[in-house]
Amino acid sequence: MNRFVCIALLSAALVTPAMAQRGAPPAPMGVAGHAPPVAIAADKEIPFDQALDAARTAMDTCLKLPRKSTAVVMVVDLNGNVRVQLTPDGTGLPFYDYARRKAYTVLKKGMSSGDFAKLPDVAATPRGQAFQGDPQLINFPGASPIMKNGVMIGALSVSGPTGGGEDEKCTAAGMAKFHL
Amino acid sequence: MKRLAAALLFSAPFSIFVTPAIAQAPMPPAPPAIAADKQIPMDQALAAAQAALDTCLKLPRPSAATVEIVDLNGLPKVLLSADGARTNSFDYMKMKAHTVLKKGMGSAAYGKTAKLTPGQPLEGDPLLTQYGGGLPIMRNGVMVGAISVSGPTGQIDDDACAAAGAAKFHF
Repeated sequence: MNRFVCIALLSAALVTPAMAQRGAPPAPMGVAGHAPPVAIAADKEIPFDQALDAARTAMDTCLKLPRKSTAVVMVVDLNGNVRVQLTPDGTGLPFYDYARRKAYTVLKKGMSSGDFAKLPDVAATPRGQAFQGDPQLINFPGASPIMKNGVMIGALSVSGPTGGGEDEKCTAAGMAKFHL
Repeated sequence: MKRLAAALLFSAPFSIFVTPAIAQAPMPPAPPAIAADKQIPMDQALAAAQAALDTCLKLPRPSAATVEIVDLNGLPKVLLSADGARTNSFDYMKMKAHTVLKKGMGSAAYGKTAKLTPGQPLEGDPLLTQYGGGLPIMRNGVMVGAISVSGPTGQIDDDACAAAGAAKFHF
């Protein structure tokens, strides 16, 4: 009898996950792709009002540059999930992807995408090859870590048509809005 | 249909294809340009998303929702995620927006007609959903995008928030 219960339990344990998976929604899709999300500690969450303020400021700064830049702006949390994304009128299609990859670079490397570009091995990577073997990493400046007490809690990423140097100005303006 | 496929390819999480670095990977067709009269103005999109988010937060059971306004290519014009929003909200939000663009109707309206088979994707498309919360953004009777809401309190609340957001558009 006991053995029967054991077998029944074991087979249920084996079969149930397989069945459950069929109806389950796809795994969360953050900036980092299909990585399983981790629970973000309360002290590492980005307050929404600050995220929106920072993104708004970064976008407006870009739009008011001498060479107006219609840049895609996003604030992502440690899971790479977008907290705020703003897309000004008339932006170009590549910038959605560049903004996402810059944010990914910040989260993965723990430094700004501009600093990542300056790493010796990255700077020496021949054109056309993936950086450090990861095709999601990108060496365009414009994304920075959002820091709280010296610890990264997310990323602010900007990508517009006037280039990484200009993007960085907008990122800095947005970053100044965080008071964590 | 072709446009949707292109949008999905382009916005796929592993859209490494866009990188010139991976020259050997096949390039998907670029999403088509959106005509000027079918573009969603940024200020209206932000006002709508903000209204939807606030409506959800002020419900009798406050809902920390994720809200998205997408254009006809499925690309996010504005995305806002309230404090404490769940990670699975992102997926449902994306699926609802996809459903609206593909079917040309609200996701709740589609859900009423959809033939559900447990464990099987709707119409063979795993990104279609029967849950309410996605609504088309209409301009002169033509769809120009979608507003999509997903929160923890369920599809009826999501639909109410989406409607509150959609009401902010004035073309």
